[in-house]
Amino acid sequence: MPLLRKRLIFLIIVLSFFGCKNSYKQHSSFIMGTIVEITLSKNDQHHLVDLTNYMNNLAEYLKANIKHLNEMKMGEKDKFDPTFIKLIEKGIYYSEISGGRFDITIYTLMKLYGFPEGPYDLPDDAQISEAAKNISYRNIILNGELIGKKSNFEIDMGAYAKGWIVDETVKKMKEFGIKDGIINAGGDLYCLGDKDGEGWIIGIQHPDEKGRVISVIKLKNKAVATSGDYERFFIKDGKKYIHIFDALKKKPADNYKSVSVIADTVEMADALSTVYYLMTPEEIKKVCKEMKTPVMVYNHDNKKLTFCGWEQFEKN
Amino acid sequence: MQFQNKNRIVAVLAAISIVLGVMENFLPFPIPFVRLGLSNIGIVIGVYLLDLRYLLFLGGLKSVVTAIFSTGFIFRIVIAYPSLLISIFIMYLFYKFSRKYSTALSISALGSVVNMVLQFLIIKILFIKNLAFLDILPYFLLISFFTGIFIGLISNSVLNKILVGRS
Amino acid sequence: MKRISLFDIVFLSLFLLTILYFIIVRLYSSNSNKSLILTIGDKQYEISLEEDKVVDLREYGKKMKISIKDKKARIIESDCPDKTCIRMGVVGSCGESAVCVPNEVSIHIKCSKSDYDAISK
Repeated sequence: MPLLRKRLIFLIIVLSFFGCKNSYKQHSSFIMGTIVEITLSKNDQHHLVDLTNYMNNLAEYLKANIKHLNEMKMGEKDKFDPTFIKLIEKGIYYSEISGGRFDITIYTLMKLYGFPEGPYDLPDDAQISEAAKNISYRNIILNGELIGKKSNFEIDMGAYAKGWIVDETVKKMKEFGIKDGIINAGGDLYCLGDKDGEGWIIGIQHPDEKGRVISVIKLKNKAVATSGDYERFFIKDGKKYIHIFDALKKKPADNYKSVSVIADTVEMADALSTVYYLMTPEEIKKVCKEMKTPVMVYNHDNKKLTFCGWEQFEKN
Repeated sequence: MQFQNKNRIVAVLAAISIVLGVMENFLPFPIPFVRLGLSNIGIVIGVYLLDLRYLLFLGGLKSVVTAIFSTGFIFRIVIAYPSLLISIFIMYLFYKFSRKYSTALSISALGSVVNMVLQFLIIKILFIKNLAFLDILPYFLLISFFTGIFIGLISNSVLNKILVGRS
Repeated sequence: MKRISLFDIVFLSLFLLTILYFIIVRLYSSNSNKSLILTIGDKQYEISLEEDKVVDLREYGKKMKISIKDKKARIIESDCPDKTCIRMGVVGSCGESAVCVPNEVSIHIKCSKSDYDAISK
């Protein structure tokens, strides 16, 4: 009897550890040209299909609108959905923050290099200067429900569209009553809730060594996104051409190895990681203070620079 | 036994525990965070000689004073104080229920393992929240099981000398 | 008081067995819980990493090949234009992945317990 009682207490102590562990499951699928990883608790798994469908619909919606705008000729204008117009306005907003270095019309030039999906090659100078003439967010004319084109530009919202889709899906998750979860769209992610009080542990990938991280942060109801030179690029004649372009220099940028941003929405984190990538550390320091977004820059000397309170999110 | 006498026992046992505990800080042990727990000899002997109130007093005294003589006072006290007191309580209960059949071996092994579990819990709750708890805990439990038996053996032979003609 | 009682022997051996049980469970789970997750579109397949082999994805309608060797995997052939997935190299440790976006194929290593809830890249 005493033996039994004692063993019972011991067993209860040991078993209580298992009880604390709420289990989460990850599911990945391809949505909007990237791999999307959705983490939900076991009890919320039945929403998975709805969420992926929702994301797919948003991606289709964006793709159709962008295609339509890109197929319009110079001087034409057409009616667009208010949601899409709002997204264009956001693109212009981020262009202004960056002083014109970030520009959604840069796609006019990027596609000549083969971005985003290859095959990649260098365009010739005549093509580049022809494209360069058309590039500027100022050539997008917004007027009520209408979008007009003042030049033959083509746009790409790759820098923040993914973020917007994740944000919308997170809203949907909240509607479903989901308290905790992560949506990770190719490394741009939102941490919903606090994982039963623990906080979500997010690693920032090392640019050169897969499987290593350069920073570990703990997030609750926050987004983080990273832009780097290691995901999409090609090398020609020993020179590296990456998928982030400077719209003022009209060529691929190569400022840092990676830039990560923590923000309240993935759209903002996503866009600002690209915007900051195009800036000098001094400029980042200034702008991140205004935007209230912690930033971590990993530069070519393999040094970590942190601004605006990134360290406060770092986990030791 | 009288009141005076018990106080004296607490004093002697606390002195033994503290000296052994501080001494042990200077003895290297191959595995980090693990020690033989020589200071617990005093506690295990105390289980046989004292009632719960004095026993808890002895435990509190021992953990506070030992912590003062160690590096990382706050850290030690936050981890050691509550875990020691709870394991003393559990050892005492176990002793109460099983004293007709058991020896200090069982009590010491139980106390040692429970203490380890509690320390892990406190570290996980207060310090390292994402501690890979279940990954390493079983190994530590195995070690504390054997150190507990070791302490139990020593306590047993001490008790056999003290308790001659008494029980 | 005796040196050791029958009760002690029973109690201590049960105690020891419980602890050993946890250790065995732990050892068992850490060795067997690494597997390769192959994602094609929105479907997922689990592939064992135990035996060395080449997986031809033709049966899934993709012109790709994945090789598995020494409990590590890599994409060795792909008809996608950018070949990024081949360049991504070997995946072997928990959470590592290689992705071929044009073909909507990815491989990643799933472990019973990962250090991070997600990776930003």
